[in-house]
Amino acid sequence: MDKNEFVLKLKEALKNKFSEIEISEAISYYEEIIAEGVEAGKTEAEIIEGFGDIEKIVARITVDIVENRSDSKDIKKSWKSFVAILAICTSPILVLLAIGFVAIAIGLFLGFLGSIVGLISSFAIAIIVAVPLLLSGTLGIGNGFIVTGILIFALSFIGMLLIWAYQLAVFLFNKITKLFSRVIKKKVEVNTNA
Amino acid sequence: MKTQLKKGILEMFVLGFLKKEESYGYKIVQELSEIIEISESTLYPILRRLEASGSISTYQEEYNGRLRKYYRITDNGKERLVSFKKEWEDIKKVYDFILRNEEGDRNG
Repeated sequence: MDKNEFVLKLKEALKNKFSEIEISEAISYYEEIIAEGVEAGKTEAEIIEGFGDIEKIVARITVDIVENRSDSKDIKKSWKSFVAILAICTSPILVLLAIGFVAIAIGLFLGFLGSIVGLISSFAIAIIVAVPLLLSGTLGIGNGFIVTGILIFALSFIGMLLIWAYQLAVFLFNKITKLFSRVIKKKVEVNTNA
Repeated sequence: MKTQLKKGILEMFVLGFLKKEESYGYKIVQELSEIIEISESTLYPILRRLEASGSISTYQEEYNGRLRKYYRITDNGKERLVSFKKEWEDIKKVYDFILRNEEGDRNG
């Protein structure tokens, strides 16, 4: 493998998972090492062979980047880290665990969605019932206020549920990503000599 | 060597080397691998961790028409070396104790 091929492979393996800066830092580290080695009289292939398996290099960089990131509050970033860690998972148990985890996450999300739909429909029914009553004068102004109060309460409850669901999902992804990266790191380090 | 211990020791190894002189990736690997086996891909996360924890700082300089990244120990890094040496004294005492005990077993 020559330098261009190596750099291309490394870029390919890291892209879409990490930011431009994170990727270019890793690439320039290896490019520099290769350039120095060539100046010292080695061939590109020799130097690249010394790096070890590209999968292991990628696994190390991935674990390192994910660990050095502070916990993200953004679900897109959390999800990206999670997927990046999953991509270097070779153990079937871990992959199964991940599938289970995603299933739980989806279940939780659907549960929240269900309760939100329930709340919105009761909200709609309340309006349908209250408005004609209010218009026909059956419902007094005082009762009208009570109904409005209940509706506002229900609405804010829906909003809170949405925020909680979001935070819970981000929290879960951060936790599981950390857990996975620790397991993978142990494997990566145990499996290499130096 | 167990990984957890080794990881910490490798960080100290790099810090100890950088305390002597500022250096760049290729040279660090060359020098360190004369003492213990270490590859470029092992060094990369170590350098990143040291930089993230503020134990080393980096700067770039032009060399042979390209940029070379230099690593330099910070005060924080020097402090970590000092506390590592202190911790090591305790570890050394335990090690000596274990050896003495084994000697005693053999003689008695």
